[in-house]
Amino acid sequence: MRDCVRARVRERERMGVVVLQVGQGGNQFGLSLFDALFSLTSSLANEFFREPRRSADLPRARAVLIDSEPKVVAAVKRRSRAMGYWRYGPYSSYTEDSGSGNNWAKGFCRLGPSWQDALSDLVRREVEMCDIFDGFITSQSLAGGTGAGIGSYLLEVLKDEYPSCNTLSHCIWPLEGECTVQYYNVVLSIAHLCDVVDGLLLVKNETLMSTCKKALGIQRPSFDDMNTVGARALASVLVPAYYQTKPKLTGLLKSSGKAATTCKVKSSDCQSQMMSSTQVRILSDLVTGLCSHPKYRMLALRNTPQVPTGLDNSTTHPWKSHLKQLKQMLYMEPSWAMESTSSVHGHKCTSDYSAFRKIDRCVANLLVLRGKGSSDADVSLLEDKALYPVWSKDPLMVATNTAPLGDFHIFASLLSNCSSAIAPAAHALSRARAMHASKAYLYQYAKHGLSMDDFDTSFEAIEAVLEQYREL
Amino acid sequence: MPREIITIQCGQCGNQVGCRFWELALQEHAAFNPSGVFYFSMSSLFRNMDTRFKPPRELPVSDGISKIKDLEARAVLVDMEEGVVNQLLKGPLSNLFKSRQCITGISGSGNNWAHGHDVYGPQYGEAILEKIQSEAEKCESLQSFNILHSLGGGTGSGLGSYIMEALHDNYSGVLRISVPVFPSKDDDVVTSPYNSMLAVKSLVDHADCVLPIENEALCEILDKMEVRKLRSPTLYVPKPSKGKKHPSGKGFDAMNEIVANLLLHLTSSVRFDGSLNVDLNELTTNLVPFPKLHFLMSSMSPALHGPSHENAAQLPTVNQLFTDVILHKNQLVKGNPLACTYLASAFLFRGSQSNVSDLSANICHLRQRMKMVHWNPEGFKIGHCFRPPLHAPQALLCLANNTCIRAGIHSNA
Repeated sequence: MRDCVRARVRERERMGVVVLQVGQGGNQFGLSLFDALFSLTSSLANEFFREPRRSADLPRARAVLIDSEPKVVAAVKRRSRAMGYWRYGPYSSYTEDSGSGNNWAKGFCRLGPSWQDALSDLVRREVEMCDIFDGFITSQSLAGGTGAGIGSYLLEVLKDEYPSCNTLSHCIWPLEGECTVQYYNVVLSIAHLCDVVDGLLLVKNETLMSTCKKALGIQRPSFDDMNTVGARALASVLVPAYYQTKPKLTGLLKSSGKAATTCKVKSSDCQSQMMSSTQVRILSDLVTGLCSHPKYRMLALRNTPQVPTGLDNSTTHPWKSHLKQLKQMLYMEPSWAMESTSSVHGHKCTSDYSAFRKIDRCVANLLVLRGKGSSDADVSLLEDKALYPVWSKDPLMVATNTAPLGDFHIFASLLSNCSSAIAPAAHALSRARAMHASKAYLYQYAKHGLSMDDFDTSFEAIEAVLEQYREL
Repeated sequence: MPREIITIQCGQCGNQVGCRFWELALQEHAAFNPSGVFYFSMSSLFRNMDTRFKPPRELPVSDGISKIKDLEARAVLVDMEEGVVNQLLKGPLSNLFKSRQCITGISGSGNNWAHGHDVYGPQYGEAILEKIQSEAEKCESLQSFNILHSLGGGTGSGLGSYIMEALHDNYSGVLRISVPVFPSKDDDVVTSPYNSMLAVKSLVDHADCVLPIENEALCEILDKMEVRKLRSPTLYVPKPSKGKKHPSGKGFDAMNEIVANLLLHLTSSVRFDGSLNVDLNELTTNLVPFPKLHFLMSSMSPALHGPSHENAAQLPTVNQLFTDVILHKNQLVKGNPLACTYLASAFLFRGSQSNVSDLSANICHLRQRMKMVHWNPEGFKIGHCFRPPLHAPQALLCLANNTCIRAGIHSNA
């Protein structure tokens, strides 16, 4: 193996990503995410797990768990111990007893600043255990006070402390009726996060629930079921893959023990990967490739299939149907397109649904294909110029890995910087404006230092983001 | 780790309701704790004391595996007559309360709000606050004060109002939740309308959240259960107490049990795990859009021992629980919420047989029947606690900020 390849291998092995789990939803999802990251790969994903000090111990997740009440973090740690494959670090969590009362202002203006020193120390400790630190992935819900409020504050602080790191925020969009003040919390969070994170991945609980019901046949899905589906989708773009670069020979290969075994078995595939591929650097490439424009940061994730299918040797183009399905998913879901705005108290809502185009236009896409023959798949369907604005150069990045993803012999994921967030964001904005016009609940936020002007600023920030995407 | 709730029982009614509440709380924790360990969930309502020391030493929860030695309730008992409190201190719950948690007078308030508020308030106020402070200092993270009182008499309404005002001044950062029992139309206290009107003013200004209860509504719920008993002879209905009865003939014990179940359900998410935890702080944030509009209609399904002896096939499904809980006959205050406007509502579910998709689907159905205020058409809050109550494998509590509460307050005050 060449020296440059050895250097890249060593670098990749030592890169670390720290996952910040904030709030009840964020911690519950984070548990599922680490479970997926562990079980869907044949060897330990060193970016997300570190080897324990004693070889007899289990690998430790590179995670910091944060919540304003103690029960959820305790339950999550208990469940990870019960699974028995990996654990959270013993000093990697911070909880208090106060609760944030679903109040974004309490989380952002009160609790965040008072916890800042303790959280910074905790995060720094985890970051220092990465030889090369790639960045943060946060897992948070947007509905409540802790994940949304404290999560937003923490990301602002970390942006100052680690100015060159990459941040991807995985935000859980609540179900309708989960929380009365959720639209305030959602709008305030997105307005603040857009300024500080590199990529904002919005995942709707409704979509996950619908996937569980329709694709997986689970009639009454629980949060665990939904988190499993969401975690698998996110893990599918985070676990190792190789993107095709032409024509230079910049091959590299995972060289951990298990992967080497895998490559011995599939030597021809590995050989071709070595000859023509470059390892995807999880956060840096993802973020620079998809979110290089400062005004476009909203990401969406689509994947297929949802149920493991066996190897289909009968067709010569197994990837064609999956890629076609991914392209179809880029067309706006009917439920979103049917939303309508109304004017309230004479205040005309500025979100205009008639401006929506039929397809989710994309700034850039990362397509990750896993399974046999992935490197030879024809991706021209997603290279369609109609999907992208004219100013977007090389908008499609393709990464592949011949290794299957857990039980899935074939798996395709599409991480898009696209306009699919317009509909839910506009809906949230109109609801928040309606409550704001009636001054409902504002005294709760004012108690902790958030004024009506702060709300107006956030509304304008969201409008600006939506406008950018409408122009795509 | 624990997040404590201090219960302040004021007056005869408050102490009787409180007595029933502590009985059921002990039974609830004992049912899921056969090994007698002092779990974190118990520390919200109780302290674990080692009485071998003088004075007794509190045993911290620490890692949640220490055995229960002697439980003490986090409570302050106030009454201007000695009878009820003395009965409590001599009865089966005597170990829970110590005399340092009790303040009693001798002559009562004469069913006069002014006597309770303006005479006993200043006279006993400092002593009451000292006892409350002593309780509060033993809490690591005090979440709320729950005040149990009636509004028709003198002590519960007058002295209760004074205590509420004092808590507002001295503990402004801690929630004040009042569970007042409104007098019924045929109440035997002549001055009850004056007393309740004066107390409501104090609740408007000083409470964070009020969950009114009406004896008439409780009687109707019990009537319904007796009708069900006639149809289904094996159905258990609590026996009427031998003691004082409500003018309708119903024992107060059964009525107090409904209120006790309400309090246990309200605090279940603070004490036990769930997939969607709801703190008491979250309830006020979600249900109180304007500071003075904090009077909430409450209803439970099932409210009481219901299906313990029934066939499993007759147990209500989660859909039935949702359908029942918004009906006027299940409200703990007289009123028909479906005929009026909802500002916000919370549905707190207890039980592990259903999950978030069931709750979400039911809320979508209920929306069609509920008239929501125009600026909050999706004003719902869902809570899910895994631990069911004692009296049913699953139960639902609905707290609604609904405009029909004004009829209840208007007619009683």
